[in-house]
Amino acid sequence: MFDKCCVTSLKTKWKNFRTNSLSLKLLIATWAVSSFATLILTAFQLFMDYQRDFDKLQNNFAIIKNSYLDSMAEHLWSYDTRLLEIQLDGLSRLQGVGYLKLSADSKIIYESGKSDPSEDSYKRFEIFHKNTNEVLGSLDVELDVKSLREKYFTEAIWIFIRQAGKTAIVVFFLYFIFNQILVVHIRSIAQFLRLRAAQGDIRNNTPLILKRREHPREDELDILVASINQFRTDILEAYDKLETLNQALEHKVEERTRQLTTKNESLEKAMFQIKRMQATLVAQERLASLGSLTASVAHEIRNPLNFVLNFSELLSDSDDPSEVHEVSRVILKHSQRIDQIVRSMQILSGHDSDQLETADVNELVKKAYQQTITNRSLASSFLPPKVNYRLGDNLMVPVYATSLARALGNVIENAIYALEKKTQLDKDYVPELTISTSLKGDTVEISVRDNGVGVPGILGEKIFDPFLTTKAPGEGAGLGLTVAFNIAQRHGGTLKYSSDFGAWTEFVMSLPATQER
Amino acid sequence: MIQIVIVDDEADTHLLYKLKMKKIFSSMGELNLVSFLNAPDCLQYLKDKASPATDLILTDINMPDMDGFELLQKVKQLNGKIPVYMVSAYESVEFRNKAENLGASRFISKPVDFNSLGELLRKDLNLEPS
Repeated sequence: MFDKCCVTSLKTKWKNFRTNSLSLKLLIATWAVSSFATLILTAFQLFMDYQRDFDKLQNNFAIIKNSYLDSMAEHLWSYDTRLLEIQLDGLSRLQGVGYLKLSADSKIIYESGKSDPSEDSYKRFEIFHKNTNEVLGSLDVELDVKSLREKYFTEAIWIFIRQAGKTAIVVFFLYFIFNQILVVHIRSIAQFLRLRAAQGDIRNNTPLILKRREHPREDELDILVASINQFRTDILEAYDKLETLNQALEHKVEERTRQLTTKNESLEKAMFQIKRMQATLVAQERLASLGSLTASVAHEIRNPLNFVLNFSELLSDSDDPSEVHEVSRVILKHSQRIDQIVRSMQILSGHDSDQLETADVNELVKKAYQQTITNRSLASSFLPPKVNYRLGDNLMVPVYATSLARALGNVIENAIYALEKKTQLDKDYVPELTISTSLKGDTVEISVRDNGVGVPGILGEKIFDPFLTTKAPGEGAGLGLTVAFNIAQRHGGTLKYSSDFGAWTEFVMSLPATQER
Repeated sequence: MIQIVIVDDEADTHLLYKLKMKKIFSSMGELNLVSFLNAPDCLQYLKDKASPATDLILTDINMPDMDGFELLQKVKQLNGKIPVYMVSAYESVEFRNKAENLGASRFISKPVDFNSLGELLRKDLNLEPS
């Protein structure tokens, strides 16, 4: 399975070798595992061999004891040194015997080899006479274990060197084999994919083909390539689908945008129409309210005018002094009524010539009360109670003095009227009227409180509506509180009331102590 | 003798009618003027058998409790023959039409022109200057 396809230069190959981490990893892993296995197995084998040779060596002691000692005792007994020498020469030629020494009567009879004091495989045999058990001498034997060890050590070193070399060669070839079989192709696949991505040319439809030798059966690489190509085809299809969808979406967005624009335009048109209609409605409403106001004003003026016109006509024909007197009084009264209405209308429309000036609120309140009393005395016989003043200090405030006096007058007139009404209903009733002024923060409060008939709760804020009156015809046009409310507003203030029907009513006018206009 | 009933919630009106009618009728015979401050009192008077026959009713429209239109309807139920004059300071087509539909004889606007009123009365009551 050696591929000869990729003709690469040696340089590239070397570079590949250095950067080819997969092959390198395999190389190192194989080498390490192989070396480890060799090390273990060889060490075991060597150990076993050594153990066998060592046992064989130790066996020499037994051979010496069983086969040599008895005859050696006989020879010592007979002191046959020749035979002893022959015997000991044979003994010294036994494998592994490194040192022999026979001594008797403190004399060394025989010695061969070299004694190594560091050697621990040493044994001394006492030689006894077979029958008397007399000690005839002693035999010292040392076994040459050191050379055995050295032999095995050298052998081990050689085995390791051989094995390492063998492994290195195998691994080296494995590296190239692995490289050619797998890594090269993986690299091609990676390059293929990278190029596709880098060029951004997803539509390039050339499939991935690895340069490999013909082989009869499909292997994992073929499966991988097939999968990648399949995946590529799938992606292409998905991309096409996405593009189609995208186009459809764009189309839809365009369509929607167009619809929205159309809708927007029609909405704007509708909005414009609504605005125009609103403006028309407002104008119409204004005209209508102007119309109804005009009708109300006309009605209010025609009533007294009816008297003024007709009575004055009578006046010119009459000779009866008492009749003249009475008619004159009625004419005056209704002329004043017309005057009141016209003045009120002027105030309501803001077309009066009042100027903002700093004035003492307490003085204004007193003046308003006096004026009200004076006006009332012409038309009514009711004597109002003495007013109970609770006035605060330092109430110099910028006001429209004439208007404010009028507004306060209207409120006070209402209060006195409520007292008068109650007096007519209840003889034992003691009317009370309290007027207070005070500075609360940056607001001046003027309160007018009476214990008169009170205001029916159902009226609520309607009490301030124009032409709403509970008074009998001719007694009031229903403009007093409207005017007062308007004047309070013109000052940037408020006019509010609270009442317990049948018991009391309190009107509170709040005015800003400093004018910010 | 002619009896005219006046209904108006403003007392000064009564004085006005009294003085003016006196002048008008000075040339047309005897007049009995009966005045009421509200419509219920007037109805009460009309229902009363003891009351003398009324030839004409002059009523204001804007009145508390019961207005002129309601009074007109009630009077028409009571006796359809009595002519009713409606008097109002509201000079509007709606009021005129409503008064007409409810069977009022005349609709008089304020301020009242008593010369014209005199002419109308003379015509409607068939009075001849004496």
